[in-house]
Amino acid sequence: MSEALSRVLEYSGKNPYACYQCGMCSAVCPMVKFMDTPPHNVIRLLQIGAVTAALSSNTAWVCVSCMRCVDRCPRNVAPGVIFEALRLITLRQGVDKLRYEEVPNIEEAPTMALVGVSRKLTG
Amino acid sequence: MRGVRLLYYPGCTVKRNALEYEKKALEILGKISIEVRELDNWYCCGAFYSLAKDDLMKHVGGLRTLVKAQVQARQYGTNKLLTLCPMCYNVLKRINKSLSENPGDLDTLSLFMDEEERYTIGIEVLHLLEVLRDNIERLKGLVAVEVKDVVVAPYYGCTALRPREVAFDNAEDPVVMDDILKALGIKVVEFPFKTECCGAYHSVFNREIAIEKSREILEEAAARGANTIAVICPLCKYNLETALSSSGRKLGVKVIYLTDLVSQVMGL
Repeated sequence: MSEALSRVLEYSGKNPYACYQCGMCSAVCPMVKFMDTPPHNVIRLLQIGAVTAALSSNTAWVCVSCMRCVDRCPRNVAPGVIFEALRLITLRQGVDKLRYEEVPNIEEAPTMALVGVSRKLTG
Repeated sequence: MRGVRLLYYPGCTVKRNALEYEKKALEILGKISIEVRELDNWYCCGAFYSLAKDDLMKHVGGLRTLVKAQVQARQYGTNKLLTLCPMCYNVLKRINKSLSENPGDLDTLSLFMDEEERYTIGIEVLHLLEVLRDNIERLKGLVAVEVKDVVVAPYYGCTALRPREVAFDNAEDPVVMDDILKALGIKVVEFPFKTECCGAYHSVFNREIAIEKSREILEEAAARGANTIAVICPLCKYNLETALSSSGRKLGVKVIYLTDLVSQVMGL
């Protein structure tokens, strides 16, 4: 197992190999249409060791942790939790996905949205 | 019998963007003889529960708030902590649950907190909807105004009901808000988009995603014959209203807090 993949398992505490590709996560995901790779395909990428491909998809960054896939996953793979691990692998390298100076109307955005986006998109 | 007492954790957004939500909620609770005391000191809950096993640090703010509540619970004689914001509710309740299941995590987190006493996991986190649900008969007795012409699509959002273990209602088809509104004589439509995602924080950096998600909800509500969408979350409200104002066509729906409807019925 690659070092990156072992970090995914360590951060998330979840096991992508338990996934049998039923596609439930992608079926219930409210954000799937904005993703270049649906959730169950990202899990499949992890299973075959293609961690770089999983990390370069926009899936984890589009996911808003609504927990719908986590509730529904019949194998407790919990893609929404694994995506947090994928985000952290990037963020912990010092790469931020948000530039505050480019946020439009930052004054009018609800505080919870700013806190949320800072938590999920910056390290 | 002494009246019910609740400690209250407002969180950042209620105090900055949703003061009217707080005002109406506290008025309604006052009318049903529930005494509410705001924590005299509180911290950011973090808005999103940290999902990583090794990222406990992000729970410190929420945990400090729970410890504050624990101290004031002794003074005030209640261990119940009210929230209005469903994201505060979600984060605090999940921290509670995870600490009770992983006592080692509480040891680790306690290392970060030098001044605070140790948390004994005795605070019960409640959302406003649960309190209204449990007092539905008293609310019914206070109906003063018949609200006509209002047809509501109840919209719950994600965080009050997911993940399943923090939900106070069926996450697939919640009825708490429906039941409260119906009990007060307000017309409610069947609304399959009750727990659809509004786009959450995408409205900050990727507005098109939030607008598209929210527009689906608005259009479904309109198609179901609703003229009002009742919400419980300041972020859902912001996203739905942003989509509403950016929509080219008139949808004939407005977005208001559930508390606005309840206080209207009560003649407040």
